Amino acid sequence: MIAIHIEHCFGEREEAFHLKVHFAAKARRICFFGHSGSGKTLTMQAVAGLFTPQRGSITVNGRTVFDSKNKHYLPARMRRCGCLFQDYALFPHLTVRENIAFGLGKGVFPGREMLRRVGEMLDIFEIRHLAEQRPGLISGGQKQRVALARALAPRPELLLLDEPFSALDPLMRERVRAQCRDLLARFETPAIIITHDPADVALFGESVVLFEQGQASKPIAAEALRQSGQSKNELLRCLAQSLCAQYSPSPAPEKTLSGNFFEKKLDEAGPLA
Amino acid sequence: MDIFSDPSLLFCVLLTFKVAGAATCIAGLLGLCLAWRLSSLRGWTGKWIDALCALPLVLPPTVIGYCLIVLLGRRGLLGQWLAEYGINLIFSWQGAVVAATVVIFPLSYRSTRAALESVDHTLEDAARTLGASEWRVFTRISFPLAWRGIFAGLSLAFARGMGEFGATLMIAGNLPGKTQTLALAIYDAFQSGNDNRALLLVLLTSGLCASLLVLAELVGGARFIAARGTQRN
Repeated sequence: MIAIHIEHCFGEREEAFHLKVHFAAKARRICFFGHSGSGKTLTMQAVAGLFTPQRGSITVNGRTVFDSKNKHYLPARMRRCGCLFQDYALFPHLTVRENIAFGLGKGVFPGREMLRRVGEMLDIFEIRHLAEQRPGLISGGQKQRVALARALAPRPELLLLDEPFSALDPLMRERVRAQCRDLLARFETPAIIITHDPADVALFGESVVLFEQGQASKPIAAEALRQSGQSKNELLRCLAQSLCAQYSPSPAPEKTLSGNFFEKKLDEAGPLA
Repeated sequence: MDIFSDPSLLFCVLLTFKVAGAATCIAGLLGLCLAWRLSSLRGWTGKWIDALCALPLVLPPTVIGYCLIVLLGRRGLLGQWLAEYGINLIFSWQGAVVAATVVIFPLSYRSTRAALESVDHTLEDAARTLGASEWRVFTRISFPLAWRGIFAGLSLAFARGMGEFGATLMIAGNLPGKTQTLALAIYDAFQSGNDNRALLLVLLTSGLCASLLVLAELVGGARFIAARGTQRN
């Protein structure tokens, strides 16, 4: 269960970028879908505590982590949000084992529980043979597994994946995507997947939130989208249709269906609920 | 001529290293603390503090010396207070350390700050989301990734500290066997017409400073190779 109500304004007057996100979702896997620069990553950072919006509140699993009215602001280190960054952000000076252990203990000497957890993660993600390597020497797919293991090791309450496959080449992407889904299925942790690739939505999403120019839609059940269209293009069109349905109560405009659905300005379509 | 056969020469070299070393340690620690705490400071406050920290770099050494005497002299603001504890910085090698510290502080601060800012902020954010406190982010992530750059900057500061002349002359004087560093000894030898000694000292100082800069370049250069290696995968 996650409820996000945030607003933030960058810049002044016409060139300003308004971030306006209001939604609550119950699904275990939520996809943030939208173009680059539509505010997906910013919203993710607000959830993780890496960015402080001007107004609003964020509740994760019933715990309020941010509330501008009560000046309540939980720092990132206490939010228990595991993050998978776009370029994985592995610590280059630490070995794979040390990377995974980083979130587990504060002490210099590892405890038994910590060693056990690191070993468990190394086995689940099949990276035991890489344990003593540094991240600079391993492949993109392996890096992603290490980053995922590192994020999941401290048992976070929420996992945030920021365009997890965009750093991989297309040939590899399909394989890693399937791998990643199977691995995630072994954890109960709820996850938010940020993406601009409909294939990710098709594979991961239980619920989709559409982002456009800093505004977010209400969550849409991805199951309905999936049933109505199997191929990627059809899914994309379904997403477009949902987007139009969200913002224009008038009969669905044909122009937007034939493509270019993002050209429609969201703020022209009326305020968000 | 052998420097080890001349005790006064050896004393000069050792004193120079002692003064420059102590000054580099103090300026390095101060610079590190300040650069770490101020790295998140944006806007006018940050700019003003930045400018203030760079001031000793552009001021004439005589101005720095004058300010230090006003501050630390027997009747100075801090000097009176220090005198109660029996500490006198004027005409002592500790005074030379203070002068060198002030002069090289901008070098240490600026290079430390640049090195810390060159660390990928996503890595620090990643550490925060993994539950690390700001102190742990600094000691485990920022500093280990930036130390080569910091070290290179401090070598430069050390080399500059070895050559410090103006402010040192004003605050510590030029007392052979007490506060006479290499730079002051060269001036002394030149003034008294002892050209051979001056030449020897000049060659010695140049050689020491040059080898220090080469060392800094070696360590700093290795940083760029390492960074490229990790980023290019």
